[in-house]
Amino acid sequence: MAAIAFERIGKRFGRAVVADALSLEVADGEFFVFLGPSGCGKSTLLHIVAGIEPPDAGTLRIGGVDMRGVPPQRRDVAMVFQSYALYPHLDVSGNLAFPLRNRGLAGAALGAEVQRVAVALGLDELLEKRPGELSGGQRQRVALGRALIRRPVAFLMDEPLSNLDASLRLEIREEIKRVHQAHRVTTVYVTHDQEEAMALADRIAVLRAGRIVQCDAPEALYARPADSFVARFVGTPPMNLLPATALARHAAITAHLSGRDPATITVGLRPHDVQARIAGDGSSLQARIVLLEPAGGFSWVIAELDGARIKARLADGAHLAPGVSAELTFAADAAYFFDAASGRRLE
Amino acid sequence: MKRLGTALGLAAVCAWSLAPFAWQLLTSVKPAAELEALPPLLPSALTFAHYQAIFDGHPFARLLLNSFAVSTFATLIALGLGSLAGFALAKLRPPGRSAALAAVVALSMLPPVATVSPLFLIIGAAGLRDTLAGLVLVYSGFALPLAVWLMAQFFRAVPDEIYIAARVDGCSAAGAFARVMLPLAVPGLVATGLLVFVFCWNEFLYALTLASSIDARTVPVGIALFAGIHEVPWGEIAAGSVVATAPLVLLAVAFQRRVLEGLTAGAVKG
Repeated sequence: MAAIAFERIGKRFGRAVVADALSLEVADGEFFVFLGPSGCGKSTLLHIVAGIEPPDAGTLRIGGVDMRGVPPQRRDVAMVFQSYALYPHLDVSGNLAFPLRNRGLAGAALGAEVQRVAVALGLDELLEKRPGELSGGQRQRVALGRALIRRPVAFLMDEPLSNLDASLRLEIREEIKRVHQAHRVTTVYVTHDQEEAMALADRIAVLRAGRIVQCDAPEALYARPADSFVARFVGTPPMNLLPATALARHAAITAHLSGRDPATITVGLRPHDVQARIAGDGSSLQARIVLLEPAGGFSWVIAELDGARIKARLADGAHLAPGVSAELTFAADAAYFFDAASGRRLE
Repeated sequence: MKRLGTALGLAAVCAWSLAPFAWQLLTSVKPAAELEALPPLLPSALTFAHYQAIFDGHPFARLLLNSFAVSTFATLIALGLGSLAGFALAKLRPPGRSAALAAVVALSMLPPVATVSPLFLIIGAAGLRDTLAGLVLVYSGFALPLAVWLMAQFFRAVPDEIYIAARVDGCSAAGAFARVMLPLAVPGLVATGLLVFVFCWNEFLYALTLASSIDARTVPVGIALFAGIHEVPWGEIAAGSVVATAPLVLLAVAFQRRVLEGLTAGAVKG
């Protein structure tokens, strides 16, 4: 097990910037998630750690050692892929044994290790099957087992849940978390799914155009987003971002603006924090209901407020229909304020 | 109606392709007297005299052995180098990869006749004229662009992640090639090998130019030399052709499934 340090790593493919002087340290035993929109080059960061791709600039250290010139097979990291990447010509037992065979392990010792991992992941009935005969969930379990079997210094996981259907995704997600808590192997995990990131991570780095927008614990990311990009990216449904002018009639907002020009401010409100109820008299924020979205125990309301769309929770006991006017309320401290031009959050 | 049309079309194509071979087969078992007469189309009696003649009157066994040796070694060399180069081009991302592939395609377009004279001189200078080794060298060189190109396509069809997984799981590039990539490219190896083997087996121009004696003469040239000054022994030529074709047919039947897998690989993602 080892810490992984990115020191001013730079990488680009043609015009696409994957990493721009990116620096951070993943602590030994930490579950670290890179969260970013699809196609922002997150996988390439893992390839740089694994030694598949050299960085254009900067230094990568694993366990404090500069990895420049160290080929993948001598870095002792294990990877789990979105596409599973099992060896199709080997059966499950052959796939699990592959990394250990490469280290010269054979015979009874090898068999015992394969058995240990297979039992731990519930694969012991499938050892003779080829990957082509397995379901997606079983394949990803085999891939996890293949990574787990040699006790690597770090796990690199490249969207391992994205190819699985919804129920399996939760199951394998729990499996990954369980494996991490049992072995505490440093894990670098890449995903575009913020829910996955929140559920798994000790810390999350939100990436945008090769830079870390914010790196923090999941709760901190949610409670104190650095800018409107992070604010919208983290949390479901995404935060409402409204021009402050649309909320100018709300007393708490105007008080907070304290004389700043509302045209330069964006207000963020999480849908959970906004209640929609039947319009009373003299209420401050009036919005027209556009859609109702039942979510089981409650309903979401999509409303129009001064030309801006806003999502809110239907207040308990309230009955609203599309087209009617509703009153929106929220606690004064639920609002986030962002600079409209830069997106930075204002205290 | 549509199925009838398909069946008729297929029958026509088969007849078109197989008719010359059927003609050879018939000729090879006709008594000498009926060879240049039509009718009868079918022989009045079956004779194997022509087959006997090619092995008794000509060193046909030696020709077969030469052809077999040259084709086998040339195929092995082309497959060995072609799969290494194809793997490197497909998975190692060397600089200038597209240029290299373009050069490979351009080279494979060269007509053999354009290289006959220089090769004659080079092989002569190397002291390899009229040797099997000389033919092996020329054939493997000529087949290499095709082999590189085909193998690069087959290796490209193997997902990058599988190669990366092998590297991360402790293989060097060469280890990943041998233990993961090559086993996955077996259908490609078989298809490429068969194409190269058939090319070598059938090759005439180089074989005629570079081999002057029975030491290095191959079957196609040998059959062409059956003809004497005064007569053309059609029966023996036909018998020789049938014997020369048989190994290819057997190979194709034996590997048919593999070849089909190979030739359609990449069309559908597995």
